[in-house]
Amino acid sequence: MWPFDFFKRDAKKYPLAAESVRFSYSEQEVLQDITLNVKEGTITAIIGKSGSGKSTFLKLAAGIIAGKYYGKIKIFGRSKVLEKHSVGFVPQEVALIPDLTIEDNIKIAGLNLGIPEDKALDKAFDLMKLLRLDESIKKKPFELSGGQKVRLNIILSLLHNPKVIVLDEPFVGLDFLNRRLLWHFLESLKKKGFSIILTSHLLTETQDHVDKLVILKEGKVFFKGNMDALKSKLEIKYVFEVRFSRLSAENLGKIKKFCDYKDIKIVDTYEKYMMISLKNQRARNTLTNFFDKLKLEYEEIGFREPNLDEIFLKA
Amino acid sequence: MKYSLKLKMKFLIDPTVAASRKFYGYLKKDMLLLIRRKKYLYLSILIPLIVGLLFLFFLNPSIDNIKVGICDYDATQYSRQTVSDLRGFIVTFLPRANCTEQLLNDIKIGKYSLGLEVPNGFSQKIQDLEQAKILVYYDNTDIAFSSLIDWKVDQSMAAYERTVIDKLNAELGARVAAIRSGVDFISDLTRDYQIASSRIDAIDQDLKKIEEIETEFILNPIWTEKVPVYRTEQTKDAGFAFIFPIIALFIVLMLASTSFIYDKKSNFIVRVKSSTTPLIYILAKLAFFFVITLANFLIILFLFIAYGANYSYPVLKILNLLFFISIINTLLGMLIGLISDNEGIAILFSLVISFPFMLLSGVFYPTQTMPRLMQYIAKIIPLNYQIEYSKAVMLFGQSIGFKWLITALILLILVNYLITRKH
Repeated sequence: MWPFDFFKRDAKKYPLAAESVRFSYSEQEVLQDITLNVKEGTITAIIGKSGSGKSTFLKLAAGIIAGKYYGKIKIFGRSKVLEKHSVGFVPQEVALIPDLTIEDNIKIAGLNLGIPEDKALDKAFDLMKLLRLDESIKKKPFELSGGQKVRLNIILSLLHNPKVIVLDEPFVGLDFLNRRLLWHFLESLKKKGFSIILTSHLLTETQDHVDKLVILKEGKVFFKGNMDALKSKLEIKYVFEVRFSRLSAENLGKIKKFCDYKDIKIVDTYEKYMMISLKNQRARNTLTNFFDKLKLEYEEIGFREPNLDEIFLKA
Repeated sequence: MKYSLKLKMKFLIDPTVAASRKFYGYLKKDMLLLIRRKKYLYLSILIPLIVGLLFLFFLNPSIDNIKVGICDYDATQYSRQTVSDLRGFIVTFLPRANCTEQLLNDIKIGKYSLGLEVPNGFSQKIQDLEQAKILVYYDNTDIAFSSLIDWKVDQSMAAYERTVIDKLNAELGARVAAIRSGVDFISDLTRDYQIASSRIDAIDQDLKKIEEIETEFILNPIWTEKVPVYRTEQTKDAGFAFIFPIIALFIVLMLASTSFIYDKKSNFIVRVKSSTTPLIYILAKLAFFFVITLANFLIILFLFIAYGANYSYPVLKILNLLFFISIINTLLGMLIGLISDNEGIAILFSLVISFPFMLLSGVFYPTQTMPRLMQYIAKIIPLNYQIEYSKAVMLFGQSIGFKWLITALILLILVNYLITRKH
């Protein structure tokens, strides 16, 4: 019955859905025709070079940027303005009040999210256990290490139990152990049905934990899907790495010509080092035969499946 | 029915409760920060206290302790008495050798505020009923004091001038009496000659007129009597109407702008925007700075009451005045915070805005004597309205109405737009 139907959240809808989103800063078009859906209980990672628009998209989805945009962004099928309480946004820069204690920071962050101070503290203690942040809440933020600040920053954004968690570069400033801890934490949330969307520069680590990858290139969706689909799209099944004992400019030119002719992609070259993406094992034999023909000697040679960094390079 | 009544009410109540919590959270955050960052707490208490005390007890223009150096070249008892008796001055006589040069140097280094030079022959001229001159040296780069010189010296000389004119009047009377006795004698001799007698009567009438001339007439032929339109005691009360708005403007502009910068730098604004619209945040800021303005109001009011001022205290009208002053100043402060990159720039902007406002407020210079263009500018400055409204409420118990809400609404929309779109 109207108007109460209006407030009904359609659970069947995607937790986060963007359709043909376009957004510009002044004259520059930052996002062009972005369409993507985040399914319930999944982790989606948006990757892309600096300036590709990934942070802008997250901020637009979380309502941090409120400029005029074209297209639709819906949270559970409703306007993102009406569903702000369903979204937990974790900003890239830590948002802690430096002159207040951790306890006050938690209380204020809780009130900011519309929840009572005692409930905010209870929830924060639970999250602190999960993220292994066992510091006294009487401390001030400057007394915490960089990694502890990042974890507290995440905790303060999740006090209201948001169904959609948006994290902008959450791994910046975390060491390997803390990154693993955070991945475990996000996976546990995913298992509980939370929907997570994040941006990251740590591509190799990301590939092992996410259900869906979205690659943005110059403000456009270059790819969306899982790792296998990405490998197929880019026709990169294997990576062939070689470090020659000596590589003259003439031989390098010959290799490049040969690769072009055989439709083999050279991903990266640096002095005597070369990384080449291959569609199958037969292509490796073709290449090594050609190197033998040129009488090239190797210092190192390797053949393996590519990681996300290498795929990203190819993209 | 798809939803129960309880569920429907929940849809309405939950957002209201959440909004109230957010409002309380923002207010609490600013209160905690004010207590923890003590320099801002001290500033908001000490500034009104210091300025109020200065205004009431130390900047009183009736206090007379102006140091004056004197070069008395006439060096007669008459000249010495003339300058010694100057009211409200602390006089020091300088040695005659190189006296003027020494006096000018002493004024330049600030030893004396004024220098008086009594030329040779000063007493003789007075005795001969000729106009005598005294040179007054002063530091014309001291703008505030320079404007005082004219009336301050003349006022100090007034008593002595009156003595001189009294003497002159007495002397005139004596001389007229002598002439009259001569005329009376001639009148007796010419009693039988009608024409001569009538001429002598005319002379007698003229002499009578001279005798009747009052000292006051010679001193000041036209008396202008200044009649204040308000009771005299209200002059004491009126200072509040100037001091309170100026202090409130300065403190709130500075604190509101730096507080917003703090929220930007600590990324608290990002948290606000991720959970709600900035409107609740702005309203909480308005509430916080209302409390600061109220505290300033009470501190300054207490000082004025201690000084003997008396007000009518129309509570609701005072509240309306405080809302007007605090809301306009807070929104202006937030605008400064929006365009500033750091706290230093914000404080600089606050000063850049406060000082011209103060100069054009009529406290230091009368706006009536300013060029027409400046008078128009002065009319649209918020501080002038705040002073005018403070006078209306505190001195006369009048209501200031609610027209100010239109300005407040325009500023609120502007600040909300800028926070939403630009940060």
